[in-house]
Amino acid sequence: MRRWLLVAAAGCGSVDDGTPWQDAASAGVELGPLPTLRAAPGCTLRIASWNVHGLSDPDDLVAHLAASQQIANADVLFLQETAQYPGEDQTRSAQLATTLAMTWAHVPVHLLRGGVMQGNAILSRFALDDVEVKRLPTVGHGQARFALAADVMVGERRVRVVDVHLEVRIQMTDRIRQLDPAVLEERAVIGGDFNTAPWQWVEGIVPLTSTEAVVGQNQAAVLDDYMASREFAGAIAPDVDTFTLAPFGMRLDNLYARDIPIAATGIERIGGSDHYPIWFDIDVCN
Amino acid sequence: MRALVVAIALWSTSARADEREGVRAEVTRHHLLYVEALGKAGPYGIGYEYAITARLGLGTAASYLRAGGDETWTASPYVHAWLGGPMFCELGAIFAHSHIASPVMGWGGASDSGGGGFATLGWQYVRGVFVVRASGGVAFGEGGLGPMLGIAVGARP
Repeated sequence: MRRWLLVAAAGCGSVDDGTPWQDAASAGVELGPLPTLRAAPGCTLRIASWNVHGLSDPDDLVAHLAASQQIANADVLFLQETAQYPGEDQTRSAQLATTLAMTWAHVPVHLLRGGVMQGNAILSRFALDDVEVKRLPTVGHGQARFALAADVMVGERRVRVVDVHLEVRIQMTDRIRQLDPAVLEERAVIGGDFNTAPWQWVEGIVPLTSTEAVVGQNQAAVLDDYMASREFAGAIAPDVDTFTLAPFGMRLDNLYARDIPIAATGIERIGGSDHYPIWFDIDVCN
Repeated sequence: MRALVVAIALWSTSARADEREGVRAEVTRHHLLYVEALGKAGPYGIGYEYAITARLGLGTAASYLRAGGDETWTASPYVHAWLGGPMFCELGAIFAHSHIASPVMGWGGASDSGGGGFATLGWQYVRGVFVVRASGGVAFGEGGLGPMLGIAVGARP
């Protein structure tokens, strides 16, 4: 009962201010060692994002990643709902990154039942620098939500990237309020799971499906409009599903770039999670 | 279309011969005022219905929701038809307007309006002047199809 009351409160409560950006050490971020470069950096940087809900086993996750050449070739991978299990020295992000010969930054976010600490991570084939974390504004009694930022060192060039995972059952106004502090006013990439379900929520519990059917207002499209006002271009159109649960297909995830041309985009319909991974290629030389 | 009107009129007229107590009670009290959750009028609706005959009523319901800075107005005119026993169905239109306020500088928010229809099948319980209805169905419009489940509580003064 208490859990349901908290879920309800998440949809109708106050919004705090979150925290300023904090450096990795003070925010408890796990950082990996420098990666071994396998090729000289080019102008094209492929960034992918995947909420790996339900894919707890690193070997299973690697097998699913390998099923998509587009994702397996990603230079940078944003992960949401990756975890650290009790009794394990390293996070699953670290285990995956080690297998893929990548470096990583992993921030713990939310303690689940059984002692599993859920988190977000950035995995990269290139070195990560200036890793920072910001706790985003919390809506009501919802979960703590974080933005994880880093500079990806592509040769002499730096590309600022931000990985986010937003609250689930909140109104669009609160979603923008939660995201806005992580949206940088500089050349950058922002991506992750924005949880843009198409509906409004009644008391944070019941989706207002009938009104959405009549009006056709999609939170994903509204988010794109907001990001465009911040000069960010998106990779995935609002009517493309990144959530796999039929018949509730919806675009929950996206990647956005500001002042960096997007050369190609895609979505990989592979299993394992209830989200599909998405990717885009950006031209870091331009 | 003419055939449909004639069929509805015949079906409606036949109800007047119905000697069931529940039906007679309905036609002697034409006005129904009710509140409804998650029905044709969105999250929390208030409604009024007028019984034309024992089997047929015309109504309208409306609601306003403000949550987290998002506002939604909904209005729904409809036809209510008694199917026999505790069962009824409703057909109607839904007009809705949604406004997402901007909580930040430099973005103007978003507004959208739409019109569509709905069809529901429901169950009704009547005790004295009080009426309780539960219904389920679909709403449709430019956003496609959406399921809806509503519960209403009202009175016939």
